[in-house]
Amino acid sequence: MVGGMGVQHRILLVDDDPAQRTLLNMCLERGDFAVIEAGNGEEAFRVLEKEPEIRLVITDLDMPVMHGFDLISKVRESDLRYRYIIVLTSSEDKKSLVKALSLGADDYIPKPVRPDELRLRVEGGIRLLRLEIQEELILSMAKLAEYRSDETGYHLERVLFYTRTLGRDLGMKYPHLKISTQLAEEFARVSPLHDIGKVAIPDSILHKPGKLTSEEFEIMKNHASIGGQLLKDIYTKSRSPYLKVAYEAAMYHHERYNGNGYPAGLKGEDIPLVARIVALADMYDAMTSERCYKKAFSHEKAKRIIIEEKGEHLDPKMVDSFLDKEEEWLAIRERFQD
Amino acid sequence: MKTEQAIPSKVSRVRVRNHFQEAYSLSKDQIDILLKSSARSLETFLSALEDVVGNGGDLPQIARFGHGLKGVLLNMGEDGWADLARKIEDSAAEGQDRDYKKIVATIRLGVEEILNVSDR
Repeated sequence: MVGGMGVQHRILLVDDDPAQRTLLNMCLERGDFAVIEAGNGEEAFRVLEKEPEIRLVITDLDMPVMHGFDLISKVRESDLRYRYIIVLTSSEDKKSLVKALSLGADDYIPKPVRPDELRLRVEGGIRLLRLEIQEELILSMAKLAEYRSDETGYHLERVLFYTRTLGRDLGMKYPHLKISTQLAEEFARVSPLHDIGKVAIPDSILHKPGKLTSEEFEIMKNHASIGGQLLKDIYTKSRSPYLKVAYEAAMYHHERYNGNGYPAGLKGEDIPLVARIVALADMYDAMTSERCYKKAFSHEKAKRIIIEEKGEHLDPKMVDSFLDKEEEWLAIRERFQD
Repeated sequence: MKTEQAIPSKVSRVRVRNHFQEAYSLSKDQIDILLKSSARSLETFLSALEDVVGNGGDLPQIARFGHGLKGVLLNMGEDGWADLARKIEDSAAEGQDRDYKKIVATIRLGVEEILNVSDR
């Protein structure tokens, strides 16, 4: 049973032929799926608007009123949460299949349908949706850590946007870094996890107004290795590349380019790229935000410090990109004011 | 030059029931339901084709209904009859002027035992 623990996955089945729907319904019911039927794309879209919990759609292509292609496009345009779309297509119609996939369909089932193949492809979709849910859970943990550390407001959002801006710019300026748009997006998505280890730091240290003693600072420094280790453990179990990047960001975002950082004292290019990027994003936001132990610095003051730290704390490439894209950074700061 | 396609043997309820059982592992009750549903879909597509062909023959419409008819026949395991429906679909999609009326009539005759299921 794919659902497990009584969870029945709801599938929207879209086909203008009632006999085809009856057949697929019978095959899917055996797999403990609850099937909702629609006779065309327009009807299907109305169902999806009303029932956001339906995450899996199986659709025919050639239908009256609204073609399957249009349904795929509409679902992708309006997506708040990802929906896994499987298209039904005859095996010889490769042109339609390629078009459906290019519009955003995830998989296909050749017609006539084989029940075992149908079940396996649906289960594959459910596995992918589960991974997304796991990702959301992990990001929720990051939010919890943020609430606890009093970094309220939009700290995580700003760091995410600064990280994305840096990643995209570096990818264009330095091809040897091999930061594709997709990788820049991945860096941005994991950035909220960089301080997840703060959940393990005592309140007395986390919320202390004023300067930490050297002993307290040593305890505070543990947040990087605690968060890094936590994400590394989940990565070891899941082997999700997303979590490997998240682990690198959390573990090494306090390393310094000159080798004087923590926890490992890595230097220069030995520091993972995502950690060098998040280091600047986090540092800029920490400086320009008010915290329990300090007032917010002006952008100009933060900029002076960043320039001073070029090649010391920060990778020179990151600083150059920050200066080039200064307006974008200011716009992000403006957009996400606490 | 087009060669004439061999006409498959007439579709029987027993043959389709056996296919539903073997291909989809359905229960007797499910087979009854699917057989009736298939009969209704066959009737829908055949009638639609007859209407379109009788009204001057809008080729995109003929291709669409031919496509639908092919799908129902493939699900029934009737590959030979599905090939005839495919011929309607492909020819109409290519804009060919054929005797669609004759092909549709041949298919109707071939599946008549199934078409009668919905009335029983």
